[in-house]
Amino acid sequence: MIRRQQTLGERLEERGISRRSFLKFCTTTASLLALPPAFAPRIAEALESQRRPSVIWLSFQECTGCSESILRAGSPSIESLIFEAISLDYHETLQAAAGHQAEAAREQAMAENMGKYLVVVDGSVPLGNPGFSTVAGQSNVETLKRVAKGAAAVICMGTCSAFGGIPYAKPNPTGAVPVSEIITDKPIVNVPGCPPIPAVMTSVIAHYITFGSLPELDDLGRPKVFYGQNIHDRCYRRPFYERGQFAQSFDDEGAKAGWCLYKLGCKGPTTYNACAVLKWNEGTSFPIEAGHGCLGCSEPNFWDKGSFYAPLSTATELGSGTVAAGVLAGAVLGAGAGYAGRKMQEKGKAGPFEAPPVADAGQKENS
Amino acid sequence: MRPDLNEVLRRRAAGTGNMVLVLHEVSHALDRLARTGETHVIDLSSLPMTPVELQQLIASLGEGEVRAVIEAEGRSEVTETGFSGVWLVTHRDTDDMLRGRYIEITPLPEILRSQDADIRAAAARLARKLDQISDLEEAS
Repeated sequence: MIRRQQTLGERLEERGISRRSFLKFCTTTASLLALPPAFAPRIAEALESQRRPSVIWLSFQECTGCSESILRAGSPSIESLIFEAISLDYHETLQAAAGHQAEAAREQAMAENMGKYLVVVDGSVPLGNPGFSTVAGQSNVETLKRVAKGAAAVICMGTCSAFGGIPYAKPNPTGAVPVSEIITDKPIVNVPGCPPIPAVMTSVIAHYITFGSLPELDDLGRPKVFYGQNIHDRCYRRPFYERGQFAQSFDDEGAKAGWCLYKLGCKGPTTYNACAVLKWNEGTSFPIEAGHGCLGCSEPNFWDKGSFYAPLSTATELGSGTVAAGVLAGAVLGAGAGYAGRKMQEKGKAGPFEAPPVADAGQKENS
Repeated sequence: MRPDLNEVLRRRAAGTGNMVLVLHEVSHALDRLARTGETHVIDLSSLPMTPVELQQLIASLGEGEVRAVIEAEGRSEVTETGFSGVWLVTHRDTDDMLRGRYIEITPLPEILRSQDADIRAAAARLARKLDQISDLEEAS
């Protein structure tokens, strides 16, 4: 879509963007990547000198919310400047070309950048009837395999491509799977969230351009920089949790006083993401700040983990009545809830795609 | 009178204790700058701090002799604090959204200097402008 021959430095100069603006951009990018400010010159050097890597964006079973999120920014912004740093050669929603021309552009980008291009995927891949989701007569799984074959790495934007997301939720009518179940021989970075925070998405790309490598990942394939801490640990309501002060309903005095939303189903203790730090809507706030608990959208199977409004302690194996009641009693509530949360997390990590949802466990007991 | 427990808790929740730590870091860095000339940058967005603490930190540093506004893809403000060599640098984007806030311990923040690449481009631009003026004079 954009000419590929120039370096970013040349493009900026051509557009009359000053070196000072670029320096500012690199400084704030270092902040986003949680790098020391001293890394700014290195980012500048890398961005200035390299040819822009080709990026092919594949959209499968998704709602386009992830693309919407990444583009939801003023212009020019860090996000849009990052797009100056890549050559977005294929994106069904954004590209001007259509039909055969669009597919031809992708084939050309693949041929010219074999082994070096990045593939970004949003949406899960249906393995059931291929007709559930096709583009240009090709099933999603065929397209993914074909395009990923020559890729340097695959970046899964959003929970659907990273963990299956909502299409994967029970009863999973399309037989949806995450990208990692199909592509096993390429580096994969998972950037989950429904949608992910825009700056997180662009920063992963910036990291790749700057260092020529992918950022350090956790055991679910997520960049540790953004997914290394849970929402709960960075939540401004944490002190209320520590003291056992919980809102009991969305309109009681506790809720009005900004107390912890744990009992109203907040999944902050088991959700690893940067919402509490980077926030949303141009840094305005994040769900908990708006008065609603975290849904845990960046975790595997978040849709099937029981009610969004049930406390975590009831959403685990500890969830049978008496144990939960005991754990929840009195001053030990905080510690108990933390324990339940950790158990849940451990379970999730042990088998991210097999963790049985509580609602099901309950149904089995009843049947 | 018995204190309002909720008020006490809210007050405690308002603080992370990081403000004093940052001031110590500034102090050490300023000492190094004075002795060896080594510069240092503290990224304030990487530290959890409440808005109140941030205000206190900025108030503690005070205001010095220099205040500059840079319009470069959004507004940036560079302010010398009451302590020479300690600068507060704030970057905003074109939507005026805060993109970064830094304390720089340096004789002159890099963003204030005219950059080499810009100077080279400016020299070429000025030369072209003079050519145009000469052409116009010759034509008249």
